[in-house]
Amino acid sequence: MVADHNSPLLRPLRSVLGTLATPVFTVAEGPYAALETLSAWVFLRRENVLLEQEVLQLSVEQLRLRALEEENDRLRDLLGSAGQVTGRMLYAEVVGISPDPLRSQLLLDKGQADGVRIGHAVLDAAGLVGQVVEVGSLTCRVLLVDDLAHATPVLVARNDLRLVLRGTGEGRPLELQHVPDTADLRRGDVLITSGLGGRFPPGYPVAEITEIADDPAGPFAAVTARPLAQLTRSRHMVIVTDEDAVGPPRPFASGFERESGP
Amino acid sequence: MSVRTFVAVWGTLLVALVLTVLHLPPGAAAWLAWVRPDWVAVILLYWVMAVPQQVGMGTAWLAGLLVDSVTGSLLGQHALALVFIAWAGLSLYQRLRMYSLLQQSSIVFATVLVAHCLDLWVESLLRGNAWTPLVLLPPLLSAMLWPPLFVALRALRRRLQIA
Repeated sequence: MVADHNSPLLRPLRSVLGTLATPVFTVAEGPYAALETLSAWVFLRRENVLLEQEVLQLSVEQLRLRALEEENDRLRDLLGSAGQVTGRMLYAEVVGISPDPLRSQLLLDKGQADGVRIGHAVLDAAGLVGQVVEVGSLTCRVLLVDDLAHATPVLVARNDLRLVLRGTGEGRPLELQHVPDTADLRRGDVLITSGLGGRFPPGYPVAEITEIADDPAGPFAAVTARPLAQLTRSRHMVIVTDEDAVGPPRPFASGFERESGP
Repeated sequence: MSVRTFVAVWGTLLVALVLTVLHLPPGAAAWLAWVRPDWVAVILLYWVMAVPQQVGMGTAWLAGLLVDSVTGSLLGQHALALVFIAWAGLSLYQRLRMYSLLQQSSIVFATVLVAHCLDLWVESLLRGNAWTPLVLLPPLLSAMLWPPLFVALRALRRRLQIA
């Protein structure tokens, strides 16, 4: 257990065991897959019409965005800073959900063979879902943003205030860490990934502030947020597999970080 | 271990593994996730009690590693809990066989509770405090599951003539 927690030595073993366990998930997902096929038969036509409309709408918006992106890149060139890279995306489907109430994790149907690596960010249509923590040959395991052990470096979209967003457990609101009582935050503010820490690509929405409470006794304000991604509902996700797309590298060597860590 | 015993033990344990990863429909209340018996522990306990010469801590350890792999927990976390269950079964089987189903159920409750506490202890070492009163639910449901499961597995064992 100590070896698994502290070193990457057991990663190959984990990935082999994970591959062996894939059929277990396939069987366990059986009832849901059957239900989905059934509902697909029934609703396919109507869904198709809706999707076609959405594709049209999105491609029109895409036209406008492409022009903006080019303009943005030209301006960045003028300023002499590096252009933003839009990451390569990999479409993935959820094949398993962690039944353990203490950890919120998902299993996706893409693995090492598809180029997924530990640390890749996972998104859905509405925002950041989490990051890859374990890669098998055909599947990968994703730690969700609301897990107790997950923290995301974020910006407030309105005023670029940098903060850290922590999960507090499955189905519970996220928590902003170390927020001064005087910070300029409002309910409904959208938090986007900042790209600091070098793990997530910058600029993707993560959560929306739901409640701000000043705690007169404590040193910090208690701010909670709601994840924008449909963590428990979406079945289709996207893995950002381009490592150039993530933000700036870690600012310090890991030795320094260990000394100054909590 | 004869081939028949091997197939029966690992077959039922695999079924237990599938039942372990079976999840609730999306959108269900979070606490409902606690309402599940510890399938692997109960089935393992049955086999340890029935054929203690063939099924023991080694089987428990391997099954635990598989559970760790499918639930994404630290390798060895569930293995530790299941090895405890196997040890309890090995040291109690002679008495357990004499008990009525109800008395056996209470022993199941106690051992699964201790196993879950071991599991939670590792969890809280790693990721901070994880205790909640809901922890009592899985052992309770495991104890309620014991009588029907015992009867079913005994029928299977007699059909396959495993002794």
